[in-house]
Amino acid sequence: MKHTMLTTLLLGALAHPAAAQTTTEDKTRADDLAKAADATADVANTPAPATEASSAAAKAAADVDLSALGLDPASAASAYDDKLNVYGFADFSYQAFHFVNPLMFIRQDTRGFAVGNLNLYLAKNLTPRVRALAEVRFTFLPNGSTNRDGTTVDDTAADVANYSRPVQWGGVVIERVYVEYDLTDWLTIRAGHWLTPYGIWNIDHGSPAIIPIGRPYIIGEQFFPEHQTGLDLFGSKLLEGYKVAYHVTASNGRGATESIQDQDNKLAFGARAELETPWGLRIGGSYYRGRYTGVAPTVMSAAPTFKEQAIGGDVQFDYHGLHAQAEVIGRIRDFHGQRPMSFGGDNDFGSYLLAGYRFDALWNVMPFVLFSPYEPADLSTFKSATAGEAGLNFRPSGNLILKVQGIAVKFDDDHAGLLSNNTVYQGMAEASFVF
Amino acid sequence: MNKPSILSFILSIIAVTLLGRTALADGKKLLVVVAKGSPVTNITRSDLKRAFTGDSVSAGGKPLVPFNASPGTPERTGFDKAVLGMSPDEVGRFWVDRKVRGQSAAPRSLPSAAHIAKVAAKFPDAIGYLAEDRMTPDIQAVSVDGVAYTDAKYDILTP
Repeated sequence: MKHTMLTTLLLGALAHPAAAQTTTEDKTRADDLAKAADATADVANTPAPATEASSAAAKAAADVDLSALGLDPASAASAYDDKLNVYGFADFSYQAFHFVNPLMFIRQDTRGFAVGNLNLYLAKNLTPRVRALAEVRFTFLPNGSTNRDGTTVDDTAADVANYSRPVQWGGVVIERVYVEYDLTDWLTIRAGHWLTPYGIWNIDHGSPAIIPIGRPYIIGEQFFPEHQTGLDLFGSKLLEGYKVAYHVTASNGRGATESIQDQDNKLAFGARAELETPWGLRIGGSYYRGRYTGVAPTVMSAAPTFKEQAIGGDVQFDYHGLHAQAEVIGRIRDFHGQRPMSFGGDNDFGSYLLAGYRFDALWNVMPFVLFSPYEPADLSTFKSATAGEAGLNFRPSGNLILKVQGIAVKFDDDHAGLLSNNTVYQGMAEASFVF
Repeated sequence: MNKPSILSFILSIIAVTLLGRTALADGKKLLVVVAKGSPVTNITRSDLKRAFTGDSVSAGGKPLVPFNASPGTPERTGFDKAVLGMSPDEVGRFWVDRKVRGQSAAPRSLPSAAHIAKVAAKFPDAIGYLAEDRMTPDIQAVSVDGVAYTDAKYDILTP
């Protein structure tokens, strides 16, 4: 018995070296705790104890040169960070698609590597209350994209810097550029080109922050516009641990020239309300109403135009490693009697549910599943589709994200759309990183 | 194993657990500090969390500017765990995801407790944290949820 007890105590002492110290320290600690317990509640301005340690700390602080860090109390009224921050992310993937049944205009099997995103951010605090952000995406597009007639864009040009040898040029997408001003703690005004504040996926925005590789239909099909140009008034208030947040937006709405001018001179409006609880639950609702106006295909013809409304609800829950999120979105389009022939109605509807669990092991792996049903108004391709996905999301470090997943999409079997009576299987792997 | 042996084994486990807990309580207290004479004498834990997770939190009509200890230091690890409720890995993912969303960046990290003490002393809107033995006369400790660091209930500690 003595042997067992002695061995266990010795093991315990080895596991916790501090515990192996003499009981004198324990007594001192107990005295300190007793003194602390006797302290009065109003000790907010308690001065630092005048000990040798604090004298040494004061000397060390006095020796510090803040100007070396760009923090000079003599020349700056505030300690806010006014440096230009340049950072970004990129992703690279391998994707393979296989349609079970042969198709007329689409290859039955496609596979290959792709550079998806190379996004660069420029962020700067202009004053303690004013910030600016720009995000541009560099892309090889339009090269390789598919035209409506099924042909592929080839933008090969002669490179003047290389004896006119062929080069394939790419493009730039301005994801967002805006300035925002904190009018109060609960009201910020944002002006410029911004991501529409709806749901979860569109806010997460970039591949490093998004768990799967591909987007669900309701996000990819943009029931809500992904971006808008105009004003976004937003803010939040903390009420006893509950965070209430809102957005109210006014913009050019959707259209062929939405970032530059409003073709129909009619503002689009939107709103979002969100409640975040202290126990990891967040629920939100979003609304958008506007008019889409394209450009006329010929000088004397009318531009395509329709009214649209979108309404969505979302919920997210995080508890330790568990993560679940879901969005439901419906969209109504009013064509004023000019509804395209391929449309079966005015309403699009869809949803998705994503759930996963992040472990602390195996590069912080998160196995996840996603389920996504979708019913479009435009029946030319299919009448309904249901996607099921499963995959793994690894984060060996905060800046490096590796994903692998499989997707099966089953299209309706009681309709004559392009993809009806078909199933597509996809295998995807992606590496994304933040720099 | 006879009965006395089982009893001794259980007692040994209890003893080790108690000793282990005593050792865990050895973490240094981390004091939330601002400039001496600042009107900020108390802050709620939720406001402290908001200030250090990118939300704007004002005191006296001016937004507080948070300063972090360097990543990997006991001060940073202890503060992130006690106030933000996150491990170092989780903190890393949290700030990377915020950057990608275009939300505000992480508070600036300063290389030493001496830097934090000096910044807190020289900039009236700065707020930081440091170990008790790094306090200087020109800064003041802020109580959290009305609990001063001298209180036995104060639980913002290094690991």
